[in-house]
This record gives sequence, structure tokens and C-alpha cells, in this order.
Amino acid sequence: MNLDKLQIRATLRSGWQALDLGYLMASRWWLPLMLSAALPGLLLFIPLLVVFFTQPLWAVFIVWWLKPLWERLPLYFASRKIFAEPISLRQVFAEAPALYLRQLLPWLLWRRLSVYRAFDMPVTILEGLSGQQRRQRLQSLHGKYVDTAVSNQLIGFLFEIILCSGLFMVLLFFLPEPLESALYNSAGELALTGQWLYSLCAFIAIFALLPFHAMAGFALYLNRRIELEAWDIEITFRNLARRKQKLASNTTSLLLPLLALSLMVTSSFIPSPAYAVVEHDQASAQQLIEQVLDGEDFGREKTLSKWRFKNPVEEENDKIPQWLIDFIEWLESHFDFFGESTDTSDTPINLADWIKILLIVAFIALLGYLLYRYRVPLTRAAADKTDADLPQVMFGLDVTPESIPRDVPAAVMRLWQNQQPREALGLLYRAALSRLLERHKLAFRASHTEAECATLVKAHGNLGLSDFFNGLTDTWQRLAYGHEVPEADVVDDLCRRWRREMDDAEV
Amino acid sequence: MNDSNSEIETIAAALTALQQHINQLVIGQDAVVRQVMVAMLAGGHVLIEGVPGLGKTLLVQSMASGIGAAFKRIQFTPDLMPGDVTGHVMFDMAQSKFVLKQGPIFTNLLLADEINRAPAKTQAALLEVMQEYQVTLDGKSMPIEQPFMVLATQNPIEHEGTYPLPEAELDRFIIKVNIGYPEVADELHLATQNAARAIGSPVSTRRNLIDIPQAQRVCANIDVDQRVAEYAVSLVRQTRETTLLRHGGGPRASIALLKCAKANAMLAGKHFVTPDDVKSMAIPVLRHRVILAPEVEIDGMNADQVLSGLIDKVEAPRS
Repeated sequence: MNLDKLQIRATLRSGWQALDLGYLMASRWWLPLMLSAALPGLLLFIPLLVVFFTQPLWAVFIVWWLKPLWERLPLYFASRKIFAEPISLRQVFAEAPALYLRQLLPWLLWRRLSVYRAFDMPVTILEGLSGQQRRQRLQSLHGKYVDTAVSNQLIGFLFEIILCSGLFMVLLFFLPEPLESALYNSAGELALTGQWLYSLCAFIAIFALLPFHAMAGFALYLNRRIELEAWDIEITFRNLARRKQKLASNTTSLLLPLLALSLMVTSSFIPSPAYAVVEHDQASAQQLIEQVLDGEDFGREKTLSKWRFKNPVEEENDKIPQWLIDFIEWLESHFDFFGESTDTSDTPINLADWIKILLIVAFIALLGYLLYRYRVPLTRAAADKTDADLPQVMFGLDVTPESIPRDVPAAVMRLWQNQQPREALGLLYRAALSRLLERHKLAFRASHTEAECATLVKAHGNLGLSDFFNGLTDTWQRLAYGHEVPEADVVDDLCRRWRREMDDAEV
Repeated sequence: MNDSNSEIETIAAALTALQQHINQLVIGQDAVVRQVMVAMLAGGHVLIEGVPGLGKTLLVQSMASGIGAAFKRIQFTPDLMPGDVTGHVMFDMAQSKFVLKQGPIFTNLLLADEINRAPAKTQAALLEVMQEYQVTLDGKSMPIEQPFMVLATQNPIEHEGTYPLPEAELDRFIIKVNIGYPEVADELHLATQNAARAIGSPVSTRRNLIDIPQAQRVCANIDVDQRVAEYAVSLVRQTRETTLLRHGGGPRASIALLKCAKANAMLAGKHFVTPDDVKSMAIPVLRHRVILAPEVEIDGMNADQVLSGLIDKVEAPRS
């Protein structure tokens, strides 16, 4: 880091001015910054789209979740550019593995939703700090810029949504009506084409805006360092020193002989140092300092009156259970949730901390609820695609292969002979559905009626199978809805045809 | 059960003959003919929406000729008065007494053409008769002869100067049928057949293919399994629970759906109702009873599209 080559003017700026500076930096270097983020993102996005072909929104969600990774290369690039170091995208990509692996898990797990991410990221990526050192560093960095850092994060998020939706709307406006209607299904939800289009818009929005958001956080970080480390003063002193040095170098040749001569002449007249006098001066200075400190400016007493509880300490302890304090301290020591406010051992938890706790608890509860609410689609997405599409229950009947006996006709005939016609035909129909799902991969849905299932079987193209299934459906419907018990030979015939069409047939 | 089944089969055969009779005259509108016959068997009235010139009048005429019923047509206009529909009492100078002059409502099949062009009070006069099956004139109630069925038409375009039917009145129609243009082959057949027909010649000779009141009675007694009834109610309730619709179907819609499902089953010659009967009649029964949410309307979706999506969300009955 050579402050002499700093490409921005080192001066004290407000948080918002720092953000403006970040946006300027992003505008100037937008293309390399965007490419350094988007190219690796694209390398992941394309395979994800293939994997989640029918649910492309998952692909873009994963890319979005990995944003802390994509922000690293632009940050590295900017950190070199800001000090006028020559750097190419090739050099940036060469550093990518090391940069990506740096504190990977914390940033993708508990720090993923940190509201200070862009502000804190340079501490990880550029300073390489972790653990206690990182916490102390953040504690000193955050200060008054915390609010601006949160705003930056929020602005980035909102603009991503706006740009993504805007792109999608623009495409909708320009699409011809028949194509436009293909984007939505009849219930007004995004159809697969619409999901693909939306995913592409989201990908573009994420990477188009990422440089702005990352650079704003970086500028905020630089601004804080300028303030804390007085870069502006250091640079001024360096400039002064350089100027003096320059002047000095011009006059040295002239002044050196004169200086030597004068020293020789005057040395005999200069008294040796009087150490006792110096000690006396220090003591008086100390006295003077104490006087000043005891003065009105530093030692005023003021009487204030206010209402308070009689036993505030006890009530405070009553309000905050010890286990909660221990839990928060444990969280702080292990996960660095609360940024700079690490030292809470001697200060009570204030309102802001309570709000943070509540927000975290609410977030965890929301996450839990969403996982519970969407457990079925999530489980299905995780499972094999073909298995995932198979319904487990149709018309209230369990159609999983495990629930079907090995010898279906024999089981059906047993039930029939036990005077259980409904159970017998129910088993036959259920087994037929299960076999069609399992072997022929027919796309039955829970909303399909028996006739719609029969239509699907017919569309499958196997005429014998379709004929058998139609007969079975008709007999089943007569029994189930018309309460018409079939003749024994009808059931017998169905069982025989079952063996021919279901047991013996090649898939 | 067997007698009932054979009766249903006999009626179904007669209905098939009637359907064929109408299809010979109204070409390329098989689905519409079937839905109108369902409404007739269910004892309801039909709202037909379609552009002019698609054979709506011919449909009603041919149906009337097929069942040997009387047919009348009223062209609804902004100056049409309730008395022009129901009739009125007038003083006969010759006999020196008030005499009752029955309006066109006293018929079996009534085509109320472009019903939304008449003002609300005239519409209300008709809709009252549709509900009560009787006309009150000069304090005297007169029942309408059975079968009685109103087929009202609406033009989906040209809404200028119309009086749209309120939702409560739309609910009186058991189904709403959307009538569209026929296929190319059907239109060609239609054009050649009608071009050869002389102006003013009758549509068809009057035949009496089926006893409609008896068919309606048999239809009302068709079995509905508890699970099928629950399915019908679930479909209707789904329209009330979605945010895509501002207003869903009410209990009257559930009743209408079951009635139409029974009629659909009867047309197929079945003595019981299956979920397919319910599902196939859900959109015609519900499309005019629901109101789309504004955002859905802005998106350009229509009731059929929304209903189709909703029906797909309802699980078929648990047998």
C-alpha cells in the first residue's frame, strides 16, 4: 500500500459522500469489475440451469446466495487499481481460488445475511483478518458508518429487485401477446418459460449492480481508514517532506561548508544541558496539567433529577435472564453477530441489542416456518426427478409400489371371495395406477379424475393397456359412485387381463 | 334400480336423437348444443355469449322443434318495457271489460336476444319469471307452462349503451355458454346448406322426440355419491378462497353444479354421477358467477383461465 499513489483524494467525507465515491469508482471500472464477478458466476449458473431445468428459480437463488463470493474478485481488483497498481483480469482470476476460499463458510452461512457485508468484506479479503483480530478490527472500523453500511446493503438489494422486475416487464411489453401468455399458467403463476426469463433477468440484475454495491462498501471502508489512520495528514506531511527535501537538496552544496564553520565557531559558547532544570520543568508541567484538569472545564459537577425504579439492578436482572445473557455472549464469542459491540461483560444489554436478538429469533423462526411450509417441494427437489414427480396418493389411494402386493390378482380374488368387492376393485385400480406410474411414467396428478387418467393411458399408445384400463375404470366407477357390484366373471376377467397387460407386458 | 336404469337408458337414447336432430341444423356447435341440453335437463336457464350470426336463434328453434315445444323470441332494446315481456291488462271497449293480454313470456322456449340492451326493470321482470316460474299480472299469479327455459344472449363486443346484468341476476342462469366460430369444414357445410334454403322456409318439421318434464324428473333422481358431492362443493369453495377472484361462487353455484353434473351423467346414459361430470360442468356453471380480481383483469386473464387453474388445484374425490 503506497499512499503516494492513492488514486482518490484522501479527505474526510461523510458516509453518503463515501457511497458516492464508491459509485464513481464502479462507473469508471464497471466492465472489469462486472466481468470479474459475472464470468465465474456464469460458469456456475449454466450447470445449475441444467440441473434445475424445470425449476430455474432455484439456480438463480443459489447464485444470489453465493454473492459474497462474487464480490471478492471485484474488491481485489479495485484494491489494486486504487493504488495505481497495474492489474489485469487474468491476474485477478489467478488469485480467485485463494480469494474464494478465504473464510468461505462463515460468509456463506451465518454472515450471508449480514447487513454490513460490503463494508466488512475488505477486512476479510484485503486484510486477511479472522477471529478475535477481525472482531477488534470491525469494532474500530464500524463507528458512525454503520447506518450508511446498512443503507448501502438495503439500496443494493432494492435496486436489484427493481432492475430485475423492470427488465422482466420490458420484455413482457415487447413480447407478442401469444408469447406473453405462455409465460404464465392459467392460475396466474409463472410458467416454466416465465421462470426461465425471470431467472435470466435476475442474473443480469445481480451482476450489473454488484460492482456498485461492492465499491460503495469499499469506499466506505477506505473513508473510515482515512479517518482513523489520518491518511490525509500523512500524505500532506509526505508532500511537505518531499518539498523540503527538494529545497534542501538544492541548497545543500552551498550551506554545508557554512554550517560546519559556524558550528566550530559557536560550539565553545553553548552551555551543557542543565538536567535539574529539565526535571523542574516536568514537575511544574504536571502540576499545571492537574490544575487544568481540576478546572471548571474538566471537573464540573451537575445535579440532575429523574424518575427511576427503586431497585433498578434487581429489576434489570429480572428482565434479562442469565441464560439469555450467556447465550448471547456465547454467540458473540463464536459467531460475531453483533459487530463491534463485543464487550458486554460490564454493560447491560441495551434496546438495540434486544432488537437484534428479536430480529435474529424472528429470522430463525421464519426460516423454520418456510422450511416446514415448503418441506414437500424441497424434499421432492432434493430427490431424484423421476421419483419426485410420482404422486404417493391418488384419489385417496396409496399408489406407492411398496403398498402393492406382489401377486395383485390373487390378493384381489381373496378379497372378492371374502365379500369385500369394494376393497377388491379398489386394490386392483390402485395397483394399476401404481404400475402405470412406476413403469410407464405417466404424469398423473392429484387433480386428475379417473376419466382423465384413462385419457392419459390412451395417449400413451398401448391399445391393449388402454382397453384394459378403460374397462377397469368403468367397473371401478360403477362400484364406487353407482354402488353397482360387478359380476364375478367381470372381476375374474379383469384379473386375467391384469396378468397379461401389467405383469407380463414389457415396458 | 334396474327399472330406473332402463328408464335412464331410454331417455338417454331419446336425448341422443334430439342432439343429433339439433346438430343437423346447428352445424359445428356440438359442445354448445350439449351444454344447452344439460341446462334444459337440469331445469335451468342459459346465458349464451357470442358475436351475432353464430346460429343462436337457430339453436333454440331447432330445439323447440325437436321437443315439440312453443318458441318465442324477444329482441331486447333500450325502450322495451316489462309489460312487453310479461303481458298486460287492457280495457276491451267492445266487451266493456279488462282483458289480459299475455306477453311472449308465455311459451316453452324463450330466446331473450341481447338481454343486456334492455333497462334493469325489464331485465328484472324476465328474471323474476325465470326464478318463480309464474307471472303476476293485475294481482293474479299465472304459472308458466312446463317445460320453460330462457336462453338469453349477450354480445361480448359493443358494450356501448348496454345495461350489464348484475351478479345476483346472473346467478339465475344455471350455465353460461360461450359460443364461438365453427371450424372451417363446419362453416363450409353450413354455408352451402343454408345458401340452398329458401327464405322463410321452416327450420324443421315439428317433432316430439322426448318428454322433457319427465326427463327432468328422472334426472333429479340420479344418484350422487357423497364424495362426488363434496368434490363439487370443494370446487365452488375454491373460487371463494383464492385471491385471484374478487367474488366466488355461492351455495347456489354448488346446487347448479350438482344439477348440471346429474344432467351430464344422464346424457351419457349413466345412473350415477362421476367426478368427470362435475369437472366438465364446473367452468360453464361458474364462469358467470365469479368476478376477477382487478390485477388479474389487468393481466388480461379471463374467468375460464382462472377457473381452469383453480380446478387443477382441487384433488379429485377420495374413493
